[in-house]
Amino acid sequence: MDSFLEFLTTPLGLVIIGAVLIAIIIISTYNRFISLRNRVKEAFRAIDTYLEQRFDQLTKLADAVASYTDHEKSTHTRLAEIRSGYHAMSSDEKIKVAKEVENLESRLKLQIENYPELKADGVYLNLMRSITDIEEKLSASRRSYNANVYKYNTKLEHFASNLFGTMMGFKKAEMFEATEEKRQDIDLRGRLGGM
Amino acid sequence: MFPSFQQLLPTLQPAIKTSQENRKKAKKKIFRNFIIGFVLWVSVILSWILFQSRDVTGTILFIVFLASAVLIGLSIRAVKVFRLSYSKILVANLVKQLFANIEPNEEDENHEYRVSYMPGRKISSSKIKESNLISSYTLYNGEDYTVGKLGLTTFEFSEILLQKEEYYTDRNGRRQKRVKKVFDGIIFIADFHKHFSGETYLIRKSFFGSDKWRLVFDGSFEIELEDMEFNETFRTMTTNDIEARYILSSNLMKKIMEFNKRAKGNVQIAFRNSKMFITKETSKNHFEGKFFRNNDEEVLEEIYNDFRLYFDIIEEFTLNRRIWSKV
Repeated sequence: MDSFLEFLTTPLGLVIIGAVLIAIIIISTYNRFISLRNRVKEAFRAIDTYLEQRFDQLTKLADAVASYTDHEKSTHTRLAEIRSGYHAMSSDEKIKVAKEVENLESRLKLQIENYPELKADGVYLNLMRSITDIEEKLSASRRSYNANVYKYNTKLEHFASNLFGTMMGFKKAEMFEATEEKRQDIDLRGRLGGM
Repeated sequence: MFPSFQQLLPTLQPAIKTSQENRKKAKKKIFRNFIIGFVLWVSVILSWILFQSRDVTGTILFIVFLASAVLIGLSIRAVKVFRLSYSKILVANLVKQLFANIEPNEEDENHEYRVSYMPGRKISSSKIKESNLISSYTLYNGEDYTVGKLGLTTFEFSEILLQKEEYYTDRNGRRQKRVKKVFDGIIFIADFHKHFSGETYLIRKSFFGSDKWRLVFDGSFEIELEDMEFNETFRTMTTNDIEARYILSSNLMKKIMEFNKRAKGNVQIAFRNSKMFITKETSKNHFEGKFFRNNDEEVLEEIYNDFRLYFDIIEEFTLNRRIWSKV
């Protein structure tokens, strides 16, 4: 044991200690980047799943509206179009289409206002509850995605993890942008730590 | 939704009267015991003055000691009997009247309003362990178990004292036992309105963070939420950050902060198995009558406020708003 400790104090021993320390730092930084990137991916996958679920529920809702009148089938047709091509879309296209779906949903809700008997229907009420739940999950996965992207990007910018990050080929991730009306809900004071 | 204390007071008057009579009876018993004890001790002094004999006085002293111990025991028993009758008559009636006079916010055939108050019972140990908020304990005690359904939400809570027996070796090498307090306060459990499969914990921030490391070993990790004040008060640990954000909407975070202020801190919360567990540390005996305070209305109002703190959680946290996937 004593001879081993003596060896560690020699120049070669010190070099080995340094190399081991650097290896530990590199491995832990790499693992941290991987775990953050996986969380970002997981949150994105969750968004994707909830967007699909929302499509399904909105299509059913549009179906219910269309069954009341022949005039308002355009929303249903557009939703069905988007839904059929959704799997083949790229991530950017999915994000773009999600914004369009939000507009279609608003239009659908306006249409429903004209049919009080539909609003009192049990099927409609269940659909609305389901949509609310999916939207809450969607909002949670978006918040989670942005929080993880924030952490990941910050780690990529901080010294000295940025050196390892660039070397290891990690790239910055894009945040989800809130729509104008949703942006108003964000507590800027809170985010800036009360500044 | 719940009636105010002033609205309930007239319905509680007969129970208050009975309780005051019980207090009077108990006080009479204690006074009688005191007089008997006093007379006995005077007789010891008199026997010493009259007989000047160590044998006689010693025998009398021994008997008086035993009698005094019995009298003290009887007096303590009288206070305990009063407290138990107070809980059974007055506190149970208060809880019953609170639920009988509820004005429901929503008329729904599935809404149900029932409550049972059992002063001698407590939340089961398995449910305390299920919360995963409290580290290991060996001694488990409690009282004032309240269980029921408010609207669509089933709930239960009780006062709980958890201790741990520890063994150590003293300076002389002898094995000694000491009892360490693990938790003293109230544990509240309610059905949560959202379905979830992961685990989310709101724990207090402490320097060493022993709870944090215990949860990390169980597979949880720490996340930061959007509310900075919330992050300063609680450490959020979860096994699934998407689910944690789904449960902890900005509205619920605000409500939890309000509850934490109203409960004067020391609150920890767990969301597990689609239930919400709240632990609140306190050394106060919340739902018990006070023997030496004659103002029953004032004491009862304090008990009313303590009950409301927990019943209101369901209303304030909108736990009755069932989400589709949970039904």
